[in-house]
Order: sequence, then structure tokens, then C-alpha cells
Amino acid sequence: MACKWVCFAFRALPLPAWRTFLLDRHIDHCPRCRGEALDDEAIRSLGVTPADLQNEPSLLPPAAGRRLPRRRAIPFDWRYAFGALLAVTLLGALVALFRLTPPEPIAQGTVYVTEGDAHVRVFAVIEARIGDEPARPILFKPGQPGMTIVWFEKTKN
Amino acid sequence: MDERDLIRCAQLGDRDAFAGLVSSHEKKLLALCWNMLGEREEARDAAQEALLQAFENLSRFDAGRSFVKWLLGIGAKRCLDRLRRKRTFLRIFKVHAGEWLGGGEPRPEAVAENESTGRLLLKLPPRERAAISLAVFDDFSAREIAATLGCAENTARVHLFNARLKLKKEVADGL
Repeated sequence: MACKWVCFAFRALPLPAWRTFLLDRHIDHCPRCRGEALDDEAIRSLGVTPADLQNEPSLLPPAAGRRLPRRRAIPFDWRYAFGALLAVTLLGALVALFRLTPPEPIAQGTVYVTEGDAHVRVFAVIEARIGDEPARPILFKPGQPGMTIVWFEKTKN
Repeated sequence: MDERDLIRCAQLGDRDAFAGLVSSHEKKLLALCWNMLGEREEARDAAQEALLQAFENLSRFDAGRSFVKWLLGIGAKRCLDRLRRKRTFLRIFKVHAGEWLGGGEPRPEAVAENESTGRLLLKLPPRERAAISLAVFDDFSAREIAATLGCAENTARVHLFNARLKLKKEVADGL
């Protein structure tokens, strides 16, 4: 790429981004183009740097000073933290309250199961009672061989 | 207390937090204004205006951005405003200087932009001066310069490129 064309194109034309990228790369790497532009170090020596201003008085009025804050408002994030803590505490209190409430006692009952033949593994529920009341057996076979779950519930009157 | 905490406190209106926040950046801001305006007193005025504007608009500051670059961006805009006003004033002054000064010829030193410092940066047009100051002294990228000056990224690159060429020429002429 010719350097003069690059300079002209870079300054004069509205270019698409990819072409600007190519021109930038050319300018960054071409020793001739770099030679025509002043480098950063030389430019810094022409201007004022913060290091030159160490003895300048502060821009802020003396009342504001350079003190770090003495009295400060609660930072914004702490409010969320306090809110979250409060919510967790309330939730814990509710859980504790429910746990303190005595659960309904499990009804005690009597179940008579008669197994037929040990090899055949057949059983029958002859009678089921919860307390003094008759109960209804419910059988559930989860699909695992040799497993049957039986539970009982009170029959409604 | 780190910078983010100071920003949050300052956003809630804490002036001391704001003072703590800008105390580490005010020299950078003043240097930028000085490079752009060329005069100490005017630079201090512009920097103080920028600080005031920053304090007033702090609630709109996006915490994801760099605070110092945001502050310097405000400073650069204040300086460009001042340079624009100054140019307008000088144009009017040149026309009416005769009447205002009692019939005498306008003195060149009264109307010339401040070149007494001899700094070559002042010979650049304002936008190029702003672009090169932000890029070289404060490490702004072309994109950030474009956002600050309100122009396209390519335009910012052109400002930078032109400024470097002109400065090189001025330096070479000065030797």
C-alpha cells in the first residue's frame, strides 16, 4: 500500500471498518508513516502532566477538603444484605414454629398377613384395623421384582 | 474504603465522599484542561466546572465504567465549550476592537490566542487537541474519544492522526 494513498484515504474518505483497520495497521507498522507522526513520548513532553502539578492547590474548596468521609450513609448494597438477612430470619422462625407444633400421631393398628406358600410368594391381607376401626389396604407394586408395598388408610364413614 | 464505595456514598449526596473520590484524579483533570486551554486560571475554572457537573450528574454515572475517564470526558467537553465561546468572543472582538479601545488599533497580543506559553499543542484545532490530549496523556482509546467528542470512531482516529502529523511538522519547523 502506498503511504501517500494511505494518508489520503485515512483523512479524506469515509471508510468501512475493515479498511480502516488495514490502514491503521499500515500506519502502525510502516516506518515511513510512523516517521511522519510524532510519537507519544514526544507529545507528552509538549504538554502538562499530573506530575508537573504536584504543587497546585486542590480544586475543591477547603471546606470539602481532602478528608475521607467521616459520616457516611449506609452503602446501597448493605440494604439488600439487611433485607436478605431479615427474610432468612423470618423464614427460620416460621420453620421453627411449624416444628414446635406436635405432628399428628401415626395411628397404630393391627395387620394380619397370611403368606400362602413361601415359594409362590403370594400373600393376602385378611384383616386390617387402625385402632378400633377397620382400615383399607392399598397395594403398590413399584416394578421391582419381589417387592410390594402395602399401606393402610382409615376408611371413611 | 475503595472507589466503588466512595461512588455509592457520593451518589447518595455525601460531599465528603465525593471529595475523597476526586482527590486522586483532580491533577489529571487539571492537566487535561491546562493542555487544552493553555492557561492555568482558565484551566482551573474549567476543571472546577467539570467537578461541579460531575457531582450533579453522579446519579447517572454507570458503575461499570471507569470513573476517571468519565470525569475526564466531562472536563474535555467543558474545555471545548470554553474554546468555542472564546473563538466567538475573539471574532466579535476583532470586529469591534477599534470602538471598544477608543479608536486605537487592536493590539495583536490582546486578540491573539494565548501563544505565550509556546506550547505546540495550542496550535492544534480544539477537537484535535482534545483527541490527542485524551489519547496520549490519559490513555483513551479511539472509541472512548469518539464517545467523549460525540463523533464517529473513524473521525476520532483521523483527529489523532492529523494531530500527530501536525505536531511532528511543528516540531521539525521549530528546530
